[in-house]
Amino acid sequence: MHSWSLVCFTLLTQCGIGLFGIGAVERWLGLNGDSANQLWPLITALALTGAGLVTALAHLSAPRLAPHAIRNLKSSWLSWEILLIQAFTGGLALLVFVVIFDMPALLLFVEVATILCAGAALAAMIKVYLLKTVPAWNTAATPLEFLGSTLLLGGSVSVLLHVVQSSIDPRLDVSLVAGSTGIGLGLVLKLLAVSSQSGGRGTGESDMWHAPAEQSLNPFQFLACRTGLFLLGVTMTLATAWPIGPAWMWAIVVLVCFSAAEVLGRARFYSSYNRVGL
Amino acid sequence: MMKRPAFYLDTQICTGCKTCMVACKDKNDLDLGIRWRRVVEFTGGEWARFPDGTYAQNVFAYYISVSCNHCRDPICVQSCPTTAMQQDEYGVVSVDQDTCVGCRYCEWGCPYSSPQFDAKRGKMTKCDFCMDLLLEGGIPACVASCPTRALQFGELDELEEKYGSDMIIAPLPRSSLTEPCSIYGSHKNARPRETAAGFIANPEEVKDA
Repeated sequence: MHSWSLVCFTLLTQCGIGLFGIGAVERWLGLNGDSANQLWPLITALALTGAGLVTALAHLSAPRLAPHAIRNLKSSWLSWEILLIQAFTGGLALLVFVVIFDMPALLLFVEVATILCAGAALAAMIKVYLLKTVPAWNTAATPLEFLGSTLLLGGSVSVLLHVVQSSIDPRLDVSLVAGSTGIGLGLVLKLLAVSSQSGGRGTGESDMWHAPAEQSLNPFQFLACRTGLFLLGVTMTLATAWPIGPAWMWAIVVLVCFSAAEVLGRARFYSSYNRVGL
Repeated sequence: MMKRPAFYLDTQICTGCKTCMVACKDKNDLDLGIRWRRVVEFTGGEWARFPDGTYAQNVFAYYISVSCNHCRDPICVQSCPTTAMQQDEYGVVSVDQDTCVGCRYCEWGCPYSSPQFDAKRGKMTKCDFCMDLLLEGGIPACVASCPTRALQFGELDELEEKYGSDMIIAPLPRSSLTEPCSIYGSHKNARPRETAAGFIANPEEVKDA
């Protein structure tokens, strides 16, 4: 299984959804109310989700037939995932338009619709992997991992954007509370995901199960590497709040640490594919 | 044409000769690595030491020839986002090559490795019960080629009446997952499904294309 396009697709779209969600929370709480503060997270979320959709095409053997992929809404969560992520991307584009051209009458309506699409897209993305014939994925760890990635990566990008904005224009009133809270909640969900993994390889002897192992790290090395990256990311997040030197530099390190940990985790997730039967 | 065609395999007399595999590949002109029908060798057992110092073995092996089971609840059809994977009025599951995007999601879900990816064409392929032969009143190539007549073919209702409906043995998964329409007659050494007392001895012949 060539999983790299799927690793990029899921992480980029989840990051886009997380960034948009954190931005919406900021707007509702009146944090970072300046329109310049609102616009860049929306544009970045749009770029991330758009890039995610492009990488999804790389997973298909016949990308020119991609429009067919939303034909089975009756029973395929994959169709729903594709449709809802496209709807979310469209909603984001419309929201950017509404913010740029300052149309407050439309703002609430478009924002609520985009939030609904974002939530539904994330739910569909999770459901795609809850396959009854793949016990390793069909656990509570999958939704916790995906939701955790959404908050963690969205929070990291949000913190970076706000720090960069405040370094460009020091007069801007920038709050990192929502982004940092997203990072914290994301890490809690990751921790819960680890504890809720059943380790399920079906119900029988592992030799029986289809297991295309493409893991290059053993489980201990993987866990140590990922935990190290998370701890480094947390330390750098604190360094961003109380920086020695330019805060944007620490924020970039935060994003790099968490992104590396997530890429590692997601690649491992796809490698753990292990269905029952033949 | 039958109302609901189905395969029956008598595992007691299947010798694992793989003629069915070869006939399938030949009839459908399948490329290297694509196997619509696969013969699984399930084996196990060990030497047991007795108190008097002597040993005895309980080694066993049996073969299961598996293709698409054209399930009642086909996970491939449900999960295919394009509707390329479809089931006709006879229950036969096939792939519309003009619509398949090659996402391989059907392959993820099927517990029988039935959808096989054709890397050259970027499409999923699978057993279609030799529909062209069936429509001409013939029988599938695999059934026609079986030298011991272990592999048979008939109306599902009649086969179920004759052999029973739930005869799933290791290493096949529990039938409630997809409700397969093939019937696997038990071998004298057959182990129950999802047993830990054995393993597939020829995984390279069974794995996905």
